[in-house]
Amino acid sequence: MEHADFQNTIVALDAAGRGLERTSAIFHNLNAAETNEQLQALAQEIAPLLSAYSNDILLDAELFAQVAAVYENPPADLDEESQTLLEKTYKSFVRNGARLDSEQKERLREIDRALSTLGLRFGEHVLKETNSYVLWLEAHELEGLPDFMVEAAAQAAEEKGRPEAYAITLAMPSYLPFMTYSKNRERRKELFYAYNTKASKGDALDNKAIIQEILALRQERAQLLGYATYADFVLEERMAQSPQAVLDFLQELLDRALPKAQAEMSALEAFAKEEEGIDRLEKWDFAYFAEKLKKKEYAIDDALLKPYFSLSRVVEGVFETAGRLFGLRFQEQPAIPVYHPEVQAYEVFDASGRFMAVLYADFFPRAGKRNGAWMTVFKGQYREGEQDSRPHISIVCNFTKPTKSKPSLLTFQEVTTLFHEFGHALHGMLADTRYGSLSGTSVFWDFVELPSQLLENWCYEKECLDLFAQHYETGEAIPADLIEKIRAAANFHQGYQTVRQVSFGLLDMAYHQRDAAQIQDVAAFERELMQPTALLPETPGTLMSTSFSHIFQGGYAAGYYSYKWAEVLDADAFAYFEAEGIFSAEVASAFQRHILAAGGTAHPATLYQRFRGRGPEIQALLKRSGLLDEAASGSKTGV
Amino acid sequence: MSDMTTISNDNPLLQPFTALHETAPFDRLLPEHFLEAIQEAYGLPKLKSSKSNRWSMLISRILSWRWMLQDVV
Repeated sequence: MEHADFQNTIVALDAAGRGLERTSAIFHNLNAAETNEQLQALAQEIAPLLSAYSNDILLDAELFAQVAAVYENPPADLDEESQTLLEKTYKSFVRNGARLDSEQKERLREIDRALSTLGLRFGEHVLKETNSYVLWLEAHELEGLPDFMVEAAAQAAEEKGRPEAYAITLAMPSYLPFMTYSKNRERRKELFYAYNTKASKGDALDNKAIIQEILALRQERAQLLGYATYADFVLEERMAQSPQAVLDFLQELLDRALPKAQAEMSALEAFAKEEEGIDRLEKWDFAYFAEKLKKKEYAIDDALLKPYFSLSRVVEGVFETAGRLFGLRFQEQPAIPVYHPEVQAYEVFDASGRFMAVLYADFFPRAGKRNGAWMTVFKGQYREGEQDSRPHISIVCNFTKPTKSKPSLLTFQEVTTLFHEFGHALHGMLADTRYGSLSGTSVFWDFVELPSQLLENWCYEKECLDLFAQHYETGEAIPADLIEKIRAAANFHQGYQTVRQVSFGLLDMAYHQRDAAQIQDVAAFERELMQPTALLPETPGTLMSTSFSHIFQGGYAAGYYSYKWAEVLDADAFAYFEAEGIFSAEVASAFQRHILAAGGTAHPATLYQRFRGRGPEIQALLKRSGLLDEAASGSKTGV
Repeated sequence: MSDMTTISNDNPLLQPFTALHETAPFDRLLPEHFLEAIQEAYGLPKLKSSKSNRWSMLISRILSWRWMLQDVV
């Protein structure tokens, strides 16, 4: 056996397997954005195979001995990035069972194989439930729906072979506007129950047993590796560092937000009674009356804003924003093959004309695409000798489709979603590291939302909106008073929104901190956990856990708090931009150098300190959310 | 190229990289290409047929754990 050193072991490991990585990435991304029964069947075959392959490497005693030899006697002259790579590589082996005995290793393999297929099955059940449901409406049931919604519902019905009817689905661009605008309370209730009972009906698509299996296996895995709970295992590799730090953080937010949220609900209930004589505000009433109240208080609603946000202009706007901040230029490149005709491919260049990345953009819902919006990577960035191999990044969304008479017009929430995903994409596109496994979004999970959430802030700035928010028919720029209203409305129901996010974070932590064997009844467990933060009456029979894909299919297990955690970071970071100018070249350059380009080359606390000149402070978020007055000033927890 | 495995000439995932910035070959890709490419990229047949030079084999067939990184949403 050759002598193990940093180059022939740690760097070789980083560089190895690129062919497999490329194939896996293409497969994984297609299965998420353009799947079909054949790909889903293949996924069931490939996922355990990849899991087994991964374990073959990470549980190989000889290979671990080589890695450990380098780790225990590192070269004295390693730079920071190389030190991080060494640390990360060693920990990857240890956290994947390299120190276990052969029997334990075999059990770990079995657990990983099972978890890989359970996660897939969980997601497939949610997708099937989403796609199989249609709320059929007749013309007299459309009251309150804006024109764009009526047109989209008619188009969906036509596509489903019933041109005389109107179809509402559980896809977000259909579900959310219906719940927001429909005056038909019974139909709202019907749709609410369809959405909130997904994969929980006791049939073949029920995810409750899968949840229990996943939790039991995750716990067993963590305990095999010497951790008390799965949350302890996960949080060791997070900026937050421990479950207690997360709980303290969430509790502080809850203490500050709950009184405000309760006051918001009281006001909303009074408004609903006054408007439509509603005695008891239900969950299926919330979006509808909240939108009406927002419109009354701020004279603003999505129907008013959408004409200023045609998708093509918003895309130009986000490109222009990236141009002003980071000098990037985007050129559509039709010669690049795409996986669906709706997908657009761009070549991205920096201010000097240097090729930086390929960017794919896939904006509209399809039957084969999962819900939500995400950024992903087809090929990551790395350097090899003098060659800088640039990344191929993709953003995938489910935005409002164009209709026969209108282009795609985005809700303001969709505009912020596009900026959000584009923030992730910048993290990928501007990556500038030597080692592929430290590149781009390969950072601690509670740090990964900083660029995305930071970029959302520009959507509320007149200086930025003036770049692209123009009426799709007249070309008129969005009026200044409308921008003021957008800004004023941004804090609308912030108490409610904060409590909602915190409640999901607490549920996630409870799932991954409690003894899995004690969770005999998923529905009862969810009810028990959500009760202290409930702001509206309970709705028996509904369940969010069975479609909580973030933690049971995606990578947010014991990590949902990351969204609020990153809000602390983004509010604090944006305060820096606000102080120096939102297009400040100096601040943007610091953000690019220390955060976007740096990826995971150092601990996030170190990177943030370098960017900001100090650690993050929670005050900017509390101020932005209007939560500073609700409790005594001064933070109990640091971030 | 390994002499112990047969490489499909029509599987674009198995063709060597021809350019530094080569993009995913969606225009030539079929679902059945994936399994073959994953097995080949991992080099399992090579490993099984060779007992020698195991250390080099491990490095050459190594699986990066990066594929497991989830999308950020």
